[in-house]
Amino acid sequence: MRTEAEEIALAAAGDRLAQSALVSRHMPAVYAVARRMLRDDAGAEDVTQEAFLRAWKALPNWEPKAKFSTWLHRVAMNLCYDRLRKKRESLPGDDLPDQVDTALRPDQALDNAQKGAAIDEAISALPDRQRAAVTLCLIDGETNISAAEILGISVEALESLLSRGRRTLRAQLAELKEKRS
Amino acid sequence: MTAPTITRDRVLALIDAYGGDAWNWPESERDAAAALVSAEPDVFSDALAEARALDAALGGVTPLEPPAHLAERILAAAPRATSTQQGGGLFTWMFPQGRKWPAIAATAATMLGMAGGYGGVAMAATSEAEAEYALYRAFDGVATFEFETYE
Repeated sequence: MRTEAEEIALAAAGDRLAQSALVSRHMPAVYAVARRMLRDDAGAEDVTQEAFLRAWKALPNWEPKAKFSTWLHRVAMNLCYDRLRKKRESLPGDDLPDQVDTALRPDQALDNAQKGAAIDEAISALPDRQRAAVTLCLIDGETNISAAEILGISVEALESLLSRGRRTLRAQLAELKEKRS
Repeated sequence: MTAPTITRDRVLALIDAYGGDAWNWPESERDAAAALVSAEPDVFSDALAEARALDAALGGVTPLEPPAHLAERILAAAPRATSTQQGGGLFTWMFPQGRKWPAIAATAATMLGMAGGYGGVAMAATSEAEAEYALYRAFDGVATFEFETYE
């Protein structure tokens, strides 16, 4: 069985099977993370494509210091943050409090009565950094070390985001439940 | 060697961040945290119940599948093999084993021809040993040619 480094070397040399293997193994997870971050199909496609474009360019000089998956997720996450920043037309600083997206309208909450739709809406409404942490760790199944590396933060900072994210989700789900009853 | 220790506050922080399933707790702290929860269940029961309720809700997230054409588009932009690496086209059809095949064939034909010539001499030899010696002599001093092709 080939190592990741061998597969990457083959892909860099134009081996179609190795390239297909990398895409089928990593693309779905990258797309799902981008989709949850951007809340937009077209944007998620663009980010996923761009992330792999950068991967193809980086492969010839690839040094196996980090896992390919972690590197690719990090590129995708940075692309997502860039898009979200441009959308808001401002750069959120570290000191600014996370803003909960108030786009979750009461009538939407009442219409989307099913649990799956409710949790999807609640995650979608999380502030960007909380949404990133929750998506990576609690949905995508990344380890804390890997998720922290993807986000470019310490494990302690990641845990803080996760705790706040979980608290925000609980509050939003409770609010949705109250509106339905 | 003493077992790693963990505090109650740290276990509560783990539950708060990662949820109620010990498998989601950091690997380096998992065993110690699980042991403490087991030893003092009342301390953690409320936190675990609350965390597990959210875990169950998170289990209901809609799986997100990428669109069918996305993989194709990504692969279309992937690096191509260079012409010296490529195995397709007319060249491959003519020389399926690559450039070395004609050279190997030519070398084998030459050696067989030379061996056959010496073999004729061997057949006229008076003894079996002499015939065998003559045949083997056909290969002495015959260099193995490697034909090189240049592009």
